Amino acid sequence: MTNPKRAQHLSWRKLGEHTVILDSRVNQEVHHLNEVGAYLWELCTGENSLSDIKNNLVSDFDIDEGTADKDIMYFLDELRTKSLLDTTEGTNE
Amino acid sequence: MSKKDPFFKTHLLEKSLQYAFKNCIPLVSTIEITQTCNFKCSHCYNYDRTGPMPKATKDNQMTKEQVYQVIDGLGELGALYINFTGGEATASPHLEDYIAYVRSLHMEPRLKSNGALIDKEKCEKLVNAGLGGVDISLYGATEEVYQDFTGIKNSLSTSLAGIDRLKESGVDLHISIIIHRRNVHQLSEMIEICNQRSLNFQLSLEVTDRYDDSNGARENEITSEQFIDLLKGPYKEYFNGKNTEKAVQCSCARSVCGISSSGDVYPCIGAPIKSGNINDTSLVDIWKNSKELNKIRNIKETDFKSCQTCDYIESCNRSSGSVYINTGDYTGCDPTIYKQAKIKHDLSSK
Repeated sequence: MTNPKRAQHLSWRKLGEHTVILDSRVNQEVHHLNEVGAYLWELCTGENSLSDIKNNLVSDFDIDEGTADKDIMYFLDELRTKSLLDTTEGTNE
Repeated sequence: MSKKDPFFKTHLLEKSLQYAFKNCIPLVSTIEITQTCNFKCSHCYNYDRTGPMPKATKDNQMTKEQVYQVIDGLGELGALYINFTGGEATASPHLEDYIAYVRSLHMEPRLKSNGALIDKEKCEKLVNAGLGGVDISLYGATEEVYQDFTGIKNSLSTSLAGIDRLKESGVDLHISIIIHRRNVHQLSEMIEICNQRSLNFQLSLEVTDRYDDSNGARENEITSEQFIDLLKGPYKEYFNGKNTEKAVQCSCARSVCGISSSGDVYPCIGAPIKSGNINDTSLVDIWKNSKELNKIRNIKETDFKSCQTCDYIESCNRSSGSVYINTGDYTGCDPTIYKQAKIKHDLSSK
């Protein structure tokens, strides 16, 4: 599976406890990520494999691998639904 | 990590702006990157463009390195939108570099422009650098009116060519229709220019004195008679907005910030209250500690004394920056804005 990578031409900033993502293709709307979402978002550089991301999540949030897998898949599905992931060919795991 | 704590929530931008206002984060910031302009607009707030650029203005413009420092500072402070303006921002030879740098820091680079210098090559460079959006000012619907205002021949056709190139590129594009005394009769045609191209637009009546105190800019303001015609005309809904909450405070020094071409830090690019200069102090330090910025942040609604007792506040569109430029009193009343509010109030009461 391709390493998850953020789509081009998105902007994002930490705003209080959340991270806001701005997609200028969608006028006047921003996406807010919670703490874990922001953490995963920072790892979606295209450099990290799914297992890298899982290992980081398990280590830093003290959760089991099964929960981490489910959370990561759910998060990536949300990113895809909102067209926030780069869909061009990237590095494969 | 449960369904009660979702990774994602999608909100209107307004909610983020409210958070930034409350916590003094300059989410929407504007940098003047040059004073050079290809037009000589008679309403320009920088200086009287019929003459040469004043020597002090020319000599004191920020260097490329200083603009990078400003961008770094805004990033540290939590800015999301970085608007580049001028002068004419596209006249800066470094614009693409600034855009790419802003994008590399995950902020949203935008541009305010007259569009006339955006030829095919320039458009490609801007888009490839990562430009997020553009706001183009429109000054009329015929070459004659445009030239009368900008002082430049064929300035309408060159601006429209820039608009069309940007539209074709897919960049987020907005038009600001600048209404003044000698183009107000062309409002329908200007709106038609936008509608034909399926472009979002906003209308602006705002003309202020110049920041260098030279005279002449406000001679472009529409007259009371023209304002009444607008309020009765086919586009009256654009001008009849009500201030039912009686709001008087701006986003100045809270969710917005402006940096002039000379490095002066303002509470907003439209409110030229010198609050520090990046030649002397870092932007981050100025934003956090400037007594001028903190004074503005501490202004209460009750400090707008003339507004508190005004019968026309619900018809008023005051901008504190404009009032400051025109009267020197940030919390005061501008007679022209007052007159327009009274006209709106009287017409709506009939």
